Amino acid sequence: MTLHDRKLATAHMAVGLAAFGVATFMALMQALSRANLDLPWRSARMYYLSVTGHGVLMAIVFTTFVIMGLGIAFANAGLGRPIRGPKLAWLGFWIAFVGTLAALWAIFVGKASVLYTFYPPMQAHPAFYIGLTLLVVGSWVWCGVIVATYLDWRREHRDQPVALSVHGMLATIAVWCIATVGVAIEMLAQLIPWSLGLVDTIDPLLSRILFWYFGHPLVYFWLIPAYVIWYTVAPKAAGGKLFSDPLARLVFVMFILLSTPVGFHHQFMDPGISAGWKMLHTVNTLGILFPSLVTAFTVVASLEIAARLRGGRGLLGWITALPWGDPLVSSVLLSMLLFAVGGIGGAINAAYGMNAVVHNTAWIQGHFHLTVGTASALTFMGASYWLVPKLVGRDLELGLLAKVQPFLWFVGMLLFSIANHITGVMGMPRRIYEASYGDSPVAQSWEGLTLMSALGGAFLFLSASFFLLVMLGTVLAGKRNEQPALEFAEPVNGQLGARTVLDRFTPWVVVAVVLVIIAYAYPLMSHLQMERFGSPGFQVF
Amino acid sequence: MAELPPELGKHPRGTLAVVGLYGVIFILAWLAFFFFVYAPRGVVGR
Repeated sequence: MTLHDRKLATAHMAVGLAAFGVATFMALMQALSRANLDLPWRSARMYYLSVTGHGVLMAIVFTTFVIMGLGIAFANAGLGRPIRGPKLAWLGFWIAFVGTLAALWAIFVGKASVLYTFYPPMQAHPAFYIGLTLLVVGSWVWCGVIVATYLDWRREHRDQPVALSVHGMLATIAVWCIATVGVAIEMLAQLIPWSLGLVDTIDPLLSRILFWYFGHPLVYFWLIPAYVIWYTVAPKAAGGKLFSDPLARLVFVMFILLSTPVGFHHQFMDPGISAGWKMLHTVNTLGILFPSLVTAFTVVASLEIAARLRGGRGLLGWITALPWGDPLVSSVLLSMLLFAVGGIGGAINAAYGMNAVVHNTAWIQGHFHLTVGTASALTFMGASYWLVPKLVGRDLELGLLAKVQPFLWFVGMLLFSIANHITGVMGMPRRIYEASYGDSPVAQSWEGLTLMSALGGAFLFLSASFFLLVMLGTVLAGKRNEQPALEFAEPVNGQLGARTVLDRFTPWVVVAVVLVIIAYAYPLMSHLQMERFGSPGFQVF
Repeated sequence: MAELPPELGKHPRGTLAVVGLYGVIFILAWLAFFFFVYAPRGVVGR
């Protein structure tokens, strides 16, 4: 990688990991608070400020900056050329960074306790909405820079398939650019004018439709880069090869097609959207399980190749031959294991009837901490062990902590997630500051499990602390090395010879846009034609 | 597959076993939730 691009990627990773660090402290406080443990400064106001900060920092800031950092590194290494438009790339970084600071200011002064979904009519300070909008604008600049770099490469390699790592990042960009249209409209047409007092009321249902148009593909914005690590980095680190390059490309294309027309499965309980449209989105949601199942097969097969090359034997005995002591490999393996559990919960969430049982309960936080909180976050931590030493030109420090950390995360997340799934089925709501409900018998039945969840939170905090210590130790005190190149797994059958239809993005993006129009145009028009009642804003805390 | 160890054979048997096992667990867990949690409570509005 060129020195400039290493600095650019490092800056993005640094902001992402700093956000992760701040959010980690909030997470511990929340887990302990829900177990009714009496903490200093514990109050509803502080709790909801913290939940908002944790959600925004983890789900939006940490993920977006780390993904941008990975994208820069993958584009540089995979295309074999520096990033196009370095000044523009830095401008995008600073726009996103300043936007992040503005949103965080509003959260930390207590003017934006609207949670990371920022549903109106809860109203935040304009700086919160404008700041998050700038973060998205900065990410669009990043998208433009990566795509421009790719197009430069493509002009010189007309018939050559692009590196799989870049293919995955381009799919990520396609999904992100389609998805963020929804939240951009919500921000610019609704939330920002309303928070500035330019309009008195807002249509909460329209906001929710626009938010979930964005909110579910956001999940794939988190997941696809994790899958890129699983496909292209983990098999190499484990000493193996990629089982099938075309299958991986098919998966990325399917995500472009199916990530967005699925948002109504987050709105099963919302009025104003007909059952038929909700059913269509449900079918699409079940369809998007398919690329994840293909990923499970292809990545496990790649790891089996690695294990057998390392001497693994037997139908399942080969699993023990994998290098579990490598923090990248163990992070990916444990991420996949918990993601598999999360997939079962996801299929329950996506079922129209069963969703009613778990809707807005603790089950939901149990679920998404397995998906974004582990499949993406733990993979990004593992990827950081691999990438950050190469970016800063230093050896990984505190290797023992790095080896232990993924397992601590796994144990902590198991405790946290199992407890929340069960209490959710028992009726415990999500996003509650105080779970005793005046010592009602039902709430008392949750008590042991909320303590289990808090214990899980403590494990997760310890794991996150280890991760941050390793990162700090590496950057500040790691032994200087010669910045080895980023290496990716070779396909078993050798590199693809020619460009295929899976390597042409324009037709797939066009089809994706058509699917979005089919899934959203009529329900949106229908909603806009109804008599609608606006709501004034409420600042609850 | 020429570069691969002969133990792998033509197909990744271990992977097929793992993915097959997961598929069975996936379906059983989904059905268990349906029959033991959802169905006894009944649909919303009943």
